[in-house]
Amino acid sequence: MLQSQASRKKTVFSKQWITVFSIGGRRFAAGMEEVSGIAQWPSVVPVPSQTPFVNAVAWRGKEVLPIFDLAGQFHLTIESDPPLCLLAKHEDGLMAVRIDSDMPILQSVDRASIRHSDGADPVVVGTCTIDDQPIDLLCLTKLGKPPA
Amino acid sequence: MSLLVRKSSSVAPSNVNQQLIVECGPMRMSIPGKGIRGLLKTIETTFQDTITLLGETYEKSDLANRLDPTKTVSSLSSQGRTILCSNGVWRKAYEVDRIISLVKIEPSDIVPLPPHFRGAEREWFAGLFFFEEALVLIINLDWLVTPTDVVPWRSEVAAGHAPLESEGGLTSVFPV
Repeated sequence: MLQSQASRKKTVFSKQWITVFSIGGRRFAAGMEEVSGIAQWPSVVPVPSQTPFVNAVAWRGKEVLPIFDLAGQFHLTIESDPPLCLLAKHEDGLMAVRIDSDMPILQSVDRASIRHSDGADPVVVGTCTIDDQPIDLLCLTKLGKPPA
Repeated sequence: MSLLVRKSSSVAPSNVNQQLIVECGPMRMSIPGKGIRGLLKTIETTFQDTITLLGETYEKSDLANRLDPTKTVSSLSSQGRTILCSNGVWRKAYEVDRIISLVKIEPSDIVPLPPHFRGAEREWFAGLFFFEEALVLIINLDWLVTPTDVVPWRSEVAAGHAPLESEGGLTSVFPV
């Protein structure tokens, strides 16, 4: 009996909730706790910039949101219209990421199924398997950080 | 060559920030009004590398190109304007696609550039503000007029070099 309870507890804690979204038809995953929300794509103004993949800002009311060009980083093109806006909890503050119009889904995955990478890339931290397909697991708090 | 700016010795209240909003390609940017010495039609200065006005010479540049070497303003547009700028130490003239408006901005309305921007753009822009339900980037006047081979540094004034001219500022911009 005790063994059975311990084993059930282990099962509960071995799951992780992730947000699965797509960019240019390619699926990505990120920890649920790193996503603040999903919104309609807002108005945007370009900002001349030398920071890689950060070259525009959007606004919601009086809040200014920098935009991270995740599609550009992975050489993808978003063709679906209108795109959606994923609000990422970046370590420097909220960031907007343009994603496909397909509504992201929340999914629980077995932690054991996540293959963590060697840590050299702070953004692509591993892969997880969903529908028998490997999907890059991203760390949204570190968007823009260069690989070590 | 027409001078389209009236200068005045009266000083605006220090807490109000005059900004000349201009369009450069897809971007709307503003140049601090205190740094503007004149406005000219770009089409009248097309074949000049420098502009001399009231005995002072301004080297001409393209603002879009300064921010992004792959872009240029359309020099032959009838709406194109060349803005003569100075911070009291350095002078420069910039071509822009068109003038949008001259506005007064309260310091509290200025939003800093988000910290996610970590490159040279932190030196290029002093912040952002809302105008007509869109965001406008405020250009850092010292960066704008300082020659590219000079590190922006205002010690010239501290060391006893008199500014080249007083900072009269804009009081109005006449329609062109």
